[in-house]
Amino acid sequence: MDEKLRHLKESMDRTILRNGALRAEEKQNILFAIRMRKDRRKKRFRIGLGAAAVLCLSLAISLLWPALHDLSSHTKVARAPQEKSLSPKNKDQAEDKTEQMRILDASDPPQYNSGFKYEKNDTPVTLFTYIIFNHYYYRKTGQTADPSELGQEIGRIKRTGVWQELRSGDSNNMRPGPIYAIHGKDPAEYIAAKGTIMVGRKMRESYLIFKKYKPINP
Amino acid sequence: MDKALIGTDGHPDPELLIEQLLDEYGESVKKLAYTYVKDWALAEDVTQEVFLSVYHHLPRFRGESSYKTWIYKIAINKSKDAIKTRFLRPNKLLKKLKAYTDVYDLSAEARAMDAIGDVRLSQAVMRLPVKYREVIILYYYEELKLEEIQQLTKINLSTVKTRLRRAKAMLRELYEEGVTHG
Repeated sequence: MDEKLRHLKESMDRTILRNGALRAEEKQNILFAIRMRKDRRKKRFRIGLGAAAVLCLSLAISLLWPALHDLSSHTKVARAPQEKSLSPKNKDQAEDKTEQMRILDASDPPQYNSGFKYEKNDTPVTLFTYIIFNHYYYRKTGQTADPSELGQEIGRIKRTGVWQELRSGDSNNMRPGPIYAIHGKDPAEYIAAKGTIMVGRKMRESYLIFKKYKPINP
Repeated sequence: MDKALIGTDGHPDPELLIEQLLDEYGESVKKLAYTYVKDWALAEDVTQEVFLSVYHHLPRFRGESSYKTWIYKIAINKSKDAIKTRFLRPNKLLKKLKAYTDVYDLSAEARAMDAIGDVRLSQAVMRLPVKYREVIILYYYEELKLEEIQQLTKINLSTVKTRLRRAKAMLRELYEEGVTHG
């Protein structure tokens, strides 16, 4: 058997593998298949590249859309008062409002995150200036009082900042100092404290009016 | 490497190289594939798959083995895959019939050579289970060394030896059987 196996190649090539020659036609088929696959791969690459570009573009649009939308709505809002102020009838009123807004903006410095809980529909407490007085938030109104309008001292701002536990005499923005009642106004509803406001481009000290808003422990 | 195969960038031109490899090993690969799949049409398909794979992986061929070893390795794997999936092929019945006819024609035509036992030996080899047929073909037909067979088939060297021994014993029985029935 070993002798026969030594000549296995000849035996098989003469018999069972005699049809095994690779014909020219088969070679051409193989080379053609290789070229076709190469072309298909190139095509697939181009399609993939195009698809990736479209995907990136749509992704960029979807990401930038909110920003573009906000920008366009802000532009509209900014244009509206300008258009209104052109009307001579509303001109004075608009100027007053602008001035008032400027005072409000200037007296509301950037806020901190206090970690306070608030009702869903309420204005978050971190977004306004407050004084804690008799276990209530007193919210800044944006109005000011003359020194002559101030009543007696009814309390003091003792600490400025944000705390987890609030107590009377705390304020997030107002510096320590006396709290006053206001003549002609219920001291349980309105109080005043010394702060700064922006008039034109200048900072000016003034007594800011605060209105009772809500209890610190609802 | 043949200088004619070198492209303008100093690397082998894949198109030229694949043509040369096809000329050199195409027939051997087709025959090797046939010894696994026992079907010429399927062997042709396997050969095409082998050279497509060779072409695809040419840039990653690092020359750690010879082209022959590398191509045979791919051919063996593709052939084994083809055996696994051949029953899923839609035209398997037609091809089986064709294969049967081929064998029949061969038998008719090769009766004269039967005396020297070529047909009987070849048929006995082809009747061996694939794992034994593989080692017989690689060792006696392809004349590879045991270490090369180990490298190609990823089988332990001692297992290759054992399989070769068992394959020869089985082959002897099948051959004797053929002689008796013949």
